[in-house]
Amino acid sequence: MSAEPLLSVRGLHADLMSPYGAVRAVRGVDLELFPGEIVGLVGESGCGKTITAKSIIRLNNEETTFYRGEILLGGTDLLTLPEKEMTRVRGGRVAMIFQDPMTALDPLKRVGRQIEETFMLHGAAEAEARAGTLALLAEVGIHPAEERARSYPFEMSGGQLQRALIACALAGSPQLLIADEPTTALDVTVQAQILRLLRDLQRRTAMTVLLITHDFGIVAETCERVAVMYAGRIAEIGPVRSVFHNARHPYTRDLIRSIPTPDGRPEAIPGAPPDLRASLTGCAYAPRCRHAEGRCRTEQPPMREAGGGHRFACFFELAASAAPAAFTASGMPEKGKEAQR
Amino acid sequence: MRSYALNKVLQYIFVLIATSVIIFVLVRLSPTDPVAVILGGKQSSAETVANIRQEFHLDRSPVEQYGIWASGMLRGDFGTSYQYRQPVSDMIAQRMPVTLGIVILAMVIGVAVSIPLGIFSAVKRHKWQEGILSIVFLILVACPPFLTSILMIWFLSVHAPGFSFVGSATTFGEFLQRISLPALALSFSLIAFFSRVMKAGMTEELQSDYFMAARARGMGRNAIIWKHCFRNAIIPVVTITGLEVGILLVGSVLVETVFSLQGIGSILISAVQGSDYPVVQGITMLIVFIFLTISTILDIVYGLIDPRVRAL
Amino acid sequence: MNDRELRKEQMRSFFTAPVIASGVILLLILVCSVLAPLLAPYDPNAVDLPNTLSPPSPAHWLGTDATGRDMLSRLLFGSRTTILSAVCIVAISAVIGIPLGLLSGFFGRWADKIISRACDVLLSFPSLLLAFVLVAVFGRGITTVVIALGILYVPMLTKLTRSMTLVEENKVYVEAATSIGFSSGHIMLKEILPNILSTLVVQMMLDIGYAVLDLSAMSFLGLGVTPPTADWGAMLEEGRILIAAYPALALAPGLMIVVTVVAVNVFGDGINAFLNPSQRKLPSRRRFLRMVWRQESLERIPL
Repeated sequence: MSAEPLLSVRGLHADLMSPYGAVRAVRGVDLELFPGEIVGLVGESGCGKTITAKSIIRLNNEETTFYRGEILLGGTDLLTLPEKEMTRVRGGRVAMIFQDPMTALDPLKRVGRQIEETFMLHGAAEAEARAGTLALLAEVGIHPAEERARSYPFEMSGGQLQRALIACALAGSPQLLIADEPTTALDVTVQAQILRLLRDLQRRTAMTVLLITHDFGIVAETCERVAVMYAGRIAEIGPVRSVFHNARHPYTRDLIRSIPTPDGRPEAIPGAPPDLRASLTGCAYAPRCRHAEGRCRTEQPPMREAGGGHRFACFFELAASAAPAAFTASGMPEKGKEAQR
Repeated sequence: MRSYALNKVLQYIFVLIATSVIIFVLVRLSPTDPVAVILGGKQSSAETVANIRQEFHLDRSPVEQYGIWASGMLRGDFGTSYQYRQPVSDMIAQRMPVTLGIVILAMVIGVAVSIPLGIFSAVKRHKWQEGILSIVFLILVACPPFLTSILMIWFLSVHAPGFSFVGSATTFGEFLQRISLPALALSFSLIAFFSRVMKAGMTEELQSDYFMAARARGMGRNAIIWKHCFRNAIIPVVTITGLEVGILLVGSVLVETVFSLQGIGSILISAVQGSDYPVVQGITMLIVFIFLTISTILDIVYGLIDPRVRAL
Repeated sequence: MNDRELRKEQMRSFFTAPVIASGVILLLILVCSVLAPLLAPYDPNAVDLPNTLSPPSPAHWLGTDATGRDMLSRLLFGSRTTILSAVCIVAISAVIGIPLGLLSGFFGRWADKIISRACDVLLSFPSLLLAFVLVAVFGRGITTVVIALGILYVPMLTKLTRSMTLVEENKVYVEAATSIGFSSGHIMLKEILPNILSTLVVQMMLDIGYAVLDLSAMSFLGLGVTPPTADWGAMLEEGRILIAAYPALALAPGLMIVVTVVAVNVFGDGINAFLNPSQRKLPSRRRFLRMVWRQESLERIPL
């Protein structure tokens, strides 16, 4: 791990204005991403992971989202950057891909045209853009590139579109790629291909990837480090192996236990995540935690070191080896997630 | 695309025929005797009645009458007015310019104002500009064109007594002056309607995934709005334009009445009141024809905008 | 936030000042139209030739019209004609349109084909055109107009019901009811209808507004109520000629039309926002920041 982080998020708060009230979706996130690594950000839906990711490139609705804290990309604070300069950062130094590839492109314009557009936004001339588009499409495994570039989004499959969107994201040769649940909307077989593609591209280009997912299996296969989020805060962060085999936060343990394995029944976590419109005193996980005691409900646990860059926010020193026996050193078993469509 | 367009054209022909049958049948259901209308309440001999029945083909069977009427219309012959004893097509031809002028001018004003207004209020969502525009749209929706016309006349009678908007026009400039106020009155409700559709469409596009994805690629908001969202958001507006043409044609009847203009509205209303069936049938069919033709053309244009439809 | 608080929040976002105001206005108008005979100080059709076009006075709060009829009484009776007719129009369209929409959405195939084609044909008459034809055939009068407009409103409601039925049909609860073996009629009326009713009610609410507008247009053209019956559209027509000298004669019924339609729309949008939270208004920035601040300060104080 190199010393200088590419991106460091410090004390990030994001408050969202909604018709139901104020949603404090992100409540003090600290996160550092180093050049050339893949970091997973996991958590249940509604834990604030997508909002955190979108805060990094400031894609939350500007009128209804209020940020505090700082997000430093190579020394510049993205949160205070004027919109005009932020536009250059988006797709340039930081790119993002989204959950549903089927709706992420303008349905009325040809796919190739939209990738060319991205090239041209980042300073390429028309001819360069065209050549670059075809090269990128070939690189992400879309063949025949020339023909597919002329397709409309509705003519392509979900997997193909996600590849095209990855190509689109690469057009500005970003240092950081944020992938927000990039495989959730895809078939299981395609999921693996897309993840492999992301890994390969990351190795080739040495960019940093922040992979957001609710699926621990994906993290185990793809990432080097993982951050577990709960109720707008980081509950535990560290190298994937260390977090898996030596989870220190009860939430991480429960999350790992809830993964279906070939020879063990998954254990659901009782209760539901807290309402982020409410004020949460103490540890946000306390109401669902099997170890919770008095102070957990009144005092917020501090971030503690577990060695080797592994940190967690809990009062307890839980015994090691939380992962079920099924998890071998080679990583997690392939998760049998049913196809969504 | 070919089968989509063909389907639309077939549907167009079917609806046109079905509509003509309905109009024809409805008119035959009337308890009023056409001969009495033609005679205008005068007493007359059995011979005259027989002659009239023959002249207006009332002695034929209903099927034959329909055939005569329908085939006549295809040739541009809409029959003869009961009240005025002159060809309906002549009456329509004489008055059509005013009505079409009003409709086209209202359409031009409406589209020119409502599309930018709709986009603007979508972009300014949750801000005071949107709030004010929503109230304006709401009042415009609630203000029927005949009321707007009356308010205009009142306003002019107080503030610009010299402005002339009645009487016959001899030059094109005068013609424009005559139709400008009714067209404006009519365009107000059109603006309310179109702006709301445009706003709804644009709001949806601004919240769409591809909008966010395009921003993530580094495109500015305005660039996305014009390069991507506009074409997507205009589709619902195109699809309701046909409907709006129909509403304008009928609305024109209302404003023509207020401004005492000699459009097809005035003869339609007097024909409705006087049971002058050939006129009612003819004008109704003509309005339906214009409305359906424009709708069908717009449906096909919509197919050209949207590649998903084009691929059908 | 628990269920009760959520419901409270939901209620609060529904009862905003404009929605309450339009609700009150609508209620007032409805009461006036039902109780017009009790409330009106004069016979609305009583001609009083010595007192034509008199300004507002203690005897005639809103003055009199060109034939000396009391404006207030005419407005009250006018609202009776207009509002009750509008309600009738929407009722007719609902009674015909909703069952047809359910049938066409639920059974599909030939039932759907026939009903959809019939709707297309009806929709080929733009706005009031069909009403003109029906009045030409069956003669002027409020009954003809109410029936004509009622028919006019059928296809829109049918199409809405049909498309919503199609959506509901694919939901699990309908599948469950089918597999249990409930009859089609039961599924349509007891399972699907209750689920789409709220949206239909909003649409019918908005339709009342359009019915008021269309009805006034018909009367304004002299194709609606027969004189001397009072009706906002007819009163507007009567006042039109004297607009320069006595604007109040036309403005009063005109204002009633606008106010009613605005109120119906605001109220309808209010119900809609109640049902679809995403369309609700956002809290003001100040209230929002106060909420955030309050929550955070609560967290800092240990229990």
